Amino acid sequence: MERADRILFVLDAAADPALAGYLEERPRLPVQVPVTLVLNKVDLLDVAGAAVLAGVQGRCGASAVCRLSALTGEGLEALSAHLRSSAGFEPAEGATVSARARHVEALGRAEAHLAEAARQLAGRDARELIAEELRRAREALGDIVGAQSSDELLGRIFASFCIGK
Amino acid sequence: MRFSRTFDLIVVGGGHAGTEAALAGARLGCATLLLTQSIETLGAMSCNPAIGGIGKGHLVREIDALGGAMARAADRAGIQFRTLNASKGPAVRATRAQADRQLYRKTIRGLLENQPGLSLFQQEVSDLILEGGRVRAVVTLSGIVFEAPAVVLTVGTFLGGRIHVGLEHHAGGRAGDAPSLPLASRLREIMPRCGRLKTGTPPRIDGRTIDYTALAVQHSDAPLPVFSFLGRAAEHPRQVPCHITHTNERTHDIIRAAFDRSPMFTGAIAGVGPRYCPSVEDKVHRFADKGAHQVFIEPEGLDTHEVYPNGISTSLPFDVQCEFVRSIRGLEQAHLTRPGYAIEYDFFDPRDLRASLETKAVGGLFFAGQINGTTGYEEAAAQGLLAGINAALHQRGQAPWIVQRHEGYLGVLVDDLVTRGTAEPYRMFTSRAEHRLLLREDNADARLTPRGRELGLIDDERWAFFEAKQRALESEFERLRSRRLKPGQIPREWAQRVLGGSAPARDVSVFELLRRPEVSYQSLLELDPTLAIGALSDDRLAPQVQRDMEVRARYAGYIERAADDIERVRRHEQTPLPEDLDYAALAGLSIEVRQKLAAVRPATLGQAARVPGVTPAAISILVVHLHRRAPRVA
Repeated sequence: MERADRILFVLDAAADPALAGYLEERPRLPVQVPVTLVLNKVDLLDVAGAAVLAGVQGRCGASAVCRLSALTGEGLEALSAHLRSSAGFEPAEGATVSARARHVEALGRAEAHLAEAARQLAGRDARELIAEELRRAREALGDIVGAQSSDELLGRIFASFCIGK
Repeated sequence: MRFSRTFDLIVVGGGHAGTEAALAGARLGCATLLLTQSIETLGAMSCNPAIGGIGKGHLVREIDALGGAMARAADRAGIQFRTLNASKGPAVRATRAQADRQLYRKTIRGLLENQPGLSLFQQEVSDLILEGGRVRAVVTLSGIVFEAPAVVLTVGTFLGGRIHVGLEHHAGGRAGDAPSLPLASRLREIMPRCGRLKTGTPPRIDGRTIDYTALAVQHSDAPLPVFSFLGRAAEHPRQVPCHITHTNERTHDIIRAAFDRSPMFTGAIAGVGPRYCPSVEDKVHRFADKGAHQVFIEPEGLDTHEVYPNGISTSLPFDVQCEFVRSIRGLEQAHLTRPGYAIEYDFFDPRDLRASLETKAVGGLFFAGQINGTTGYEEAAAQGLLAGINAALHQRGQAPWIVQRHEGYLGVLVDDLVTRGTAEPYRMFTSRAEHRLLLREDNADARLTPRGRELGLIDDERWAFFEAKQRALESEFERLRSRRLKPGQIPREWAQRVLGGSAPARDVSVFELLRRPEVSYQSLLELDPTLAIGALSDDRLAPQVQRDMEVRARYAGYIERAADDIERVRRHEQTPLPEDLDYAALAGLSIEVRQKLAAVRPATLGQAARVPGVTPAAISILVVHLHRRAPRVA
């Protein structure tokens, strides 16, 4: 859990409006990882429960709180937006466009290299050049998703085949 | 007892890494001492008697381009030479030689004994003396203290070595040799992260008990490949063939029935072995659907009957080894001369090294070879060479020489180790290099020899040959580009046979013709014999020049594009990251990325980008951070 970017802690708000389940668990959660408290079943929350919850919610120590009803769908949109922004996706219009433009450009490069590889495959006997185009295509995709190391590739290859030292 | 003389550089270990380290140190003018457990085993090949292969041949050529010993020794000891990947284009083509074990060892010992500035001493090293975070001396088992400001450790599988044959095991560094236990425990105190790896060898066989008539034969290639840029095929000893046979279902049944007596499967061996070179019991276990595995019968030498059956390394009990070997075609009557075994040994996490191969923990202490988690003679020699060079530079108070990834497999090897670490014995492959169309066997000299000359590694003979070759390349390139052919000058028959009918409709230069994948230099000579390279000052030049022209033609365009790539990343490679950077405090980085960077502590932004799991976005954050920090530093 220490390696997580974020912890989603889901509670039944109707059954435990005092958030006892969370407060009890909190000392065992890694301090450096932010916690989003997800309060489910808010559709079943009665007036007394709502008052208890309102009293404790602000002081519970969670980085964010999302109210949710999985049954009615209430709060789902907000949770989804919260997760997107926690993962670093900016909601601002301009930022989205620029990220997309960069991705589109990378995809375009990948496509061009794949097309060149296909052309080489059809026409010539130059396997190392085909491999070069495929590598460049992979590199372009890596600009979006992060590089895959050739070591992982070797793992795949030698899962079914071996050579000497 | 203090030894009467102090040295500039001490190399511990006389294997392939130690050899190159000691020779390089002495070539750079250091008073160098090579300490070994046994002068008799200098240059010994502990595993299979072969040099080179895919990726490895490239390393050997680079070592040669820097004046190293391995290629020259392989040329004088090679008894079967082949060019691998011959059908796949020059970038991935690789030279491989079977070596006569005795000849190889003799050649290496001769080179070491005749190197000016290099002394040998036989005694096991058991301790290091440190002072103020720096190395000051090494101590041998009998208490002799040798002082030097720089020490290269190349101790192979001898650190805490343990040999397994079946469920029997004993301490050992190699069959017949003792391990280094005191040194291993001392290093465990010094180095923060230590791991355990495993490798293995097959049993050896008396060739007189093999029925060769039942086996496929594999001869040397013609023309005979040569390893060193300065080598000639005439240096090679008599050539002998290898043979090929296969395991079969009965072999696999015998092996399977003994799984319960295999230290691999009973848990006696904890070390991790290489994925790409598993033991035969591992192959039978992991590739259960395969009915046969290839076995190369490699000669051990010209004047011995012993052979090395490559492909069946094993740590099964000896009785099982005898039984399964005799189930293989041609080996029915085989007499085993030595049992196969597995060996486990300590290695230290190479992420605790700088790119100079100096340990981060102790100034002046360098590691090379299997101690860093690699496997293979060539990988060891490559690190030995670099560690020797950088130890010499360190001792002189000069900055280290870091080979970049686009300059050589030497750079790829070291950068992979210090950036990614390794979970299994690390072996070189051409696929590990992103610039592999640039990093070819044929141009290792152009990539590295000029820098080697500046450093002082290259003697006058090699430099004169290098300069003559560069001149010959330029004039030949010019000749092929300026010589133009009109459509009528290309005979219909030649166009039909070589080009498949599509003769050029306009004037073309000979070089343009050579760019077509179907056209080789040889086929141009058929077109017009006057195209033959004119008389060159040296008989070694013509084949090297011819090959270079084919490569330039084939990769034109690709090579320029690769140069652009390199230019683009150069800025990152030259941006240093502060050694004390507190990754935990860097806002915006995910915890995973922070931990990964902190585990490696990369020296440059370029290295940081290659740490697995570090995304382009994380690098942008680092760039921003460096910008903010920069004004305060300045």
